[in-house]
Amino acid sequence: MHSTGLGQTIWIIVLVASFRLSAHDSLYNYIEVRPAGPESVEIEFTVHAAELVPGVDPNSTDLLWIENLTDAEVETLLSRARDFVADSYLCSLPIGCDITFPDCAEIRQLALEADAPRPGCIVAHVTVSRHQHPIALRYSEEAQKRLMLVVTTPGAFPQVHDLAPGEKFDISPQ
Amino acid sequence: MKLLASLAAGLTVAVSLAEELPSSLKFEQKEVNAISVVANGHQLSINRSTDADPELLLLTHARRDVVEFARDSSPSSVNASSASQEFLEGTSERWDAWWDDRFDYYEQQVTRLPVQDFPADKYLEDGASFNWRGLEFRLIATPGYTRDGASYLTELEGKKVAFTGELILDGGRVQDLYSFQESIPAAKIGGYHGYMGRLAIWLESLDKLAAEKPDFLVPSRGPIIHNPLETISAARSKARQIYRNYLSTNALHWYFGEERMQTCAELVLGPGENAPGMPFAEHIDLPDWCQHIGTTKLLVSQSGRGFVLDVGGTRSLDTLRTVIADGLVKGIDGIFATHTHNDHTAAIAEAAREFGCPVYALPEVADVIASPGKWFLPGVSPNAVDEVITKQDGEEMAWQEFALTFHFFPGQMYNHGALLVEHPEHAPVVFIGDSFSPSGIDDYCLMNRNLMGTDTGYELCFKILETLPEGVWMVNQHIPHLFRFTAEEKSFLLDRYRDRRKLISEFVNWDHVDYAIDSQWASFYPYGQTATPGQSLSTDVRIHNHSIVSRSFTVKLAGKWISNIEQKSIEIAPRETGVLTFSLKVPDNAESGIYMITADIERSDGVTCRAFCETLIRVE
Repeated sequence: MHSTGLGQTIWIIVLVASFRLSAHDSLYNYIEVRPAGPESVEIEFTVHAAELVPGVDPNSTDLLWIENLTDAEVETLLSRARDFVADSYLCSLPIGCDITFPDCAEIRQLALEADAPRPGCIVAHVTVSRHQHPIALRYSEEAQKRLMLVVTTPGAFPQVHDLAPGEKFDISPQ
Repeated sequence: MKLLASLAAGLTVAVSLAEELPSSLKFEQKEVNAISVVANGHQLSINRSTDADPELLLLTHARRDVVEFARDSSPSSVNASSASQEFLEGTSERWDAWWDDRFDYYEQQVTRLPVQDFPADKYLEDGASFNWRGLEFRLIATPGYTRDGASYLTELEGKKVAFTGELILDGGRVQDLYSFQESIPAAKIGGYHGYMGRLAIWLESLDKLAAEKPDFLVPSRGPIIHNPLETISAARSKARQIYRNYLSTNALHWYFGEERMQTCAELVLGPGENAPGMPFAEHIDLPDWCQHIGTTKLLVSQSGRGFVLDVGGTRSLDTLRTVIADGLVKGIDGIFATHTHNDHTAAIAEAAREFGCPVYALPEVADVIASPGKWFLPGVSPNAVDEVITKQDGEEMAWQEFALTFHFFPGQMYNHGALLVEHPEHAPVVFIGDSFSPSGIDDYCLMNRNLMGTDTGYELCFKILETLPEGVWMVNQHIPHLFRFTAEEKSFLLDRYRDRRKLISEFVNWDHVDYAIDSQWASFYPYGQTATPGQSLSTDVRIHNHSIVSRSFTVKLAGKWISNIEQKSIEIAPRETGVLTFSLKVPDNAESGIYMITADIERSDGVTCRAFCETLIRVE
């Protein structure tokens, strides 16, 4: 597990599994904001892996194809996932808070697990303090899908925001 | 006199065309054409022989009917495209795996593949040549209608002849539309969303064929094509009009934006071409009593009770658990399944057990989610719902302060319902599953059985919308908005849709467009069943007579145990469905494994479809 750069190592999960789900999960990009203990919130970025690899059906959530990739190809996949997040979401994250992606071994290990909440996706997390100011998120105008942004707060229904490319949103780590 | 003159002119044309054919070419127009080339007393056949067992048979592709006629031809040797190898070999392993793989299936390829191996003696790459009895043949890969399509070129008595399989038929037509479903990688469109996704590949294949300047095209269906370039040109024009029309009403504009749709347009229509959709329809936030949770919608009453539409996965189910645990909802009183795709149904069974609530569905949905193994449709979850309460079209139900009305709503797929929800303090809302988005129609997957007749499919959906209370909002399970079309937008969508129906009817080889849309106009029910050695069982063949006239259909089964089964016939009224039931007995000595049975369908007007549909029986 490693960080993308400056900040602390933050826990991450890769949700890749040889588990078939629906084509429809590829209709939106997803970000979820949810509590992570009393002092922090966690922002989860979901990247649909199949869309990053030429030759794989973009609807595919059967990730058996990952097993056939070499380590170098998995590293390329991860590199593309990082680029995807960096290019799609212009985020004013606090200094020291970086979005972290998995390493090759974790992908291979977790690819074998079933019942993943987001099958076929690479999911990265960043944790920020509740004491931070709102985090400005701008969804790139170049994005090729809409963004479903879900904010989960204890004791309330999830707030769902449907963003078109180019739209902005303030994530308040309250 | 005029009639006689016309007949005479027709005969003249027919004779002159016939005279153009090389004498070494034998051609008999049949369900799958019998085609042979004779040289030095030996015979080469394409897909199906004319009379004698051919010395060499050339396969243009590996669809089941073609392969069965090829097998019957008893050729001494077979050449096929290397692209066909995966379909001609390993059939036992493929069908064994298909028992499980048929669930959650989104690749959307026609399942009409060989039941038994028919390996070629030689597999040829694109451009490969070979000599047979002094004649040079060359294979060119011509995929599009099928993934593995190939054509064979040769020169017979000074005429350049192309044997083209099902690539293009007389009049620039094709056999059906659903065979073109495919992913479009350049646009990041998956197979499920890839309406006519192999169209660009098909157009490339036609370009290749045209560049060869053949004098005749000899297809495996319908008459010989004597004017190849004009026919190819007509086909290209029709196909592009259909695709342009499709893009202009497409629901995917909402989700994917213009760049991907532009890529789709350019691939088929040409560089710089586009087919923009209409502006997004008016859309507003969901009311407070409706929560969006993944593909689930949760209705919450003033008393705190909940009513759920669809539960597609563990993530939605977890959120439902959380809102109950947090006291936001006191309990779930019911679940309505809008349609049968797994992203709407996979966790319904678990949710219903956990919440102890009933599950409701229209008849077209109920049996699929209760007995998923009996069906083969896109994305059917194997997670069977224990009990489903069937609600009829138009049936009403009161729940808390809400009035609910169930509707059959064959939009995104045939097995689809809708729920009109009327709240005393809000404009009515109809939950239309996945059938519309603010940009239009969700008909991107032909395997969903998006029938185009005036009495069904989206035509029916539009009619139902007209019957709903004025000002009704729609809501799609994937979209956290209410939206509705203006009268002008409805007219735009419906007019374009009707235009497309006309265009498709001119592009396909059937008397009604729905035969070309519906890959399951004849199908087995159940699609899969288990049995033990010695067990008696039955299977139905369901036939949808899409024609606007009454027709009789004759069905004959084929398979390992089927030698004594009689063929059966049924007369089916126009636009109705008929069922023929066959009794089977598993032999006492049957070994465990997957057994395939196929059905030959013959229509009273002579249309014949060999091994058109299949059923799987797993002997345990």
